[in-house]
Amino acid sequence: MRTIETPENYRNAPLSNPRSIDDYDCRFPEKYNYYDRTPIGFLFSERSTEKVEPTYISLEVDGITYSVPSALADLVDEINDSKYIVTLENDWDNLGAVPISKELYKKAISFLLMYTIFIYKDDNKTVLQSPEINPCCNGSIDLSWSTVGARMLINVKFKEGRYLASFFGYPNSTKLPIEGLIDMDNIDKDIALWMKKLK
Amino acid sequence: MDEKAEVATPNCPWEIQTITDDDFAFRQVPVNLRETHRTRKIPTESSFALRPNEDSLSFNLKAIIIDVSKNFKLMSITHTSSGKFVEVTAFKIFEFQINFLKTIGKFEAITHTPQFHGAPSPIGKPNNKSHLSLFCGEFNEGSRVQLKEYCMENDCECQFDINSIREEIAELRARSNDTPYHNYWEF
Repeated sequence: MRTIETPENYRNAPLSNPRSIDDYDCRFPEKYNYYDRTPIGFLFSERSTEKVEPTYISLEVDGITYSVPSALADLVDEINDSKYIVTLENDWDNLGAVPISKELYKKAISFLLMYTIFIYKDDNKTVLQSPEINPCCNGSIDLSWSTVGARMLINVKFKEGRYLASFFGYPNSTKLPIEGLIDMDNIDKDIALWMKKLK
Repeated sequence: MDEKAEVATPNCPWEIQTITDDDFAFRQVPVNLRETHRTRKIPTESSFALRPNEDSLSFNLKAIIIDVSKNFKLMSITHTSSGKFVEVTAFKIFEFQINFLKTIGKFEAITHTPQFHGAPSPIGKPNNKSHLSLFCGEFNEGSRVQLKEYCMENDCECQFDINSIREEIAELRARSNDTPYHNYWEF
C-alpha cells in the first residue's frame, strides 16, 4: 500500500489554538487596491475585535448641528444642496415669487430629519430615498419623493400663525391616495409606517 | 335670442372663447433656479404652486397663440417686478391637453381670460389675447403631483431653440410698445 509522506519542511497548524476563516479580515486594507493583489491570494489581516459603532455625519443648518447616521449620507448631500433656498430673493423666478424664510427652511429640514432618522432607527436601519427639496413661489417648501414603492409630496408652510406640513401620496401598487396634515413636532407613527414605502 | 358675448374686462376688445376638451394650453415654467449639482426633472410640483394673490394658474390657449415661438416672444417683452425684461432662456414651455386639466382632483373651472392693458399697453406689460385661467382651489399637493406626473408620462415639453428667435426678440424689445402684442394682436 502506498502512503503519503509529509514533506520535511511541512508544519501542521497548532491544534491547541484552532482558527477559522472568520477570524481573518479578508477585505483589502485601505492602502491597497485591487491591483495590489498578489498572485497567491489576498492579503490577510486579523479582524479587529473592537466593537464597531455606527458612524455619524455632522450636518450644520443655520447654526443648528445635527448628527445624522452615515447611512443617510445622500440625504445630507441633498440638504446641503438645498441651502441655496434661503438665499433666494424677492421675484426669484422672474414671475413674482416670494423668498423662503430661514425659519421655515430650518423647520422643514428638522421635520425631514426627524422622520428619516426615526424610521432608520425604528425599522432595522431602513434608509428612505432622499426627497427633492424644492422652493415654491408662494414661500413654502416641497419635499418630493418618487420611489419604486410610492409617491409622496409634503408641503411645509407657515399659515395662520403656525407651521404646517400637508401631504399627498400613494403606493405605486394600488395608487390609492392618502392626504392630510402631519404633526411637525412629534412623530406620527402611522405616517412613519406609511413612509417606509419610500425606501 | 342674441346673447352678448362675455368679456374679461369692460374695455377688453376680445370675446371670451369657449374652450373645448380637444384644445391645448401652454404653460411656462422657470428652470435654472438650482445652483447645485443634483439634477431635477423639470417641471417639479413646485412649478404649479400659486403665487401670493393668485387664485388660478396661468396658461396660454394654443388655438390663439398658435406656436411656442410666439409664447417665448410674448414672455421676452414682459417685465419682471424689478423692471427688467424676462430672461426667456430661464424657462421651458409645456403643453397640456384641456381634457387632462379638467381631470385634476380639485378642478373647478378653466376660463379664457384675455389680458388687455390698453392699445398700446405699457412697455413691459403686453396684452395677452390667449390667456387662460385654471381654477383648482389652492392647488394642493395632489393637484400639483397630477400636473407633474402628466408632464413626465406624456413628454409634453415643447422643444424649441431660443437662439432661432434671438434677433426677433431684440427687435421687439427695441420697438418698446409698438408691437402687435401691445395692441390688438393683429400679426
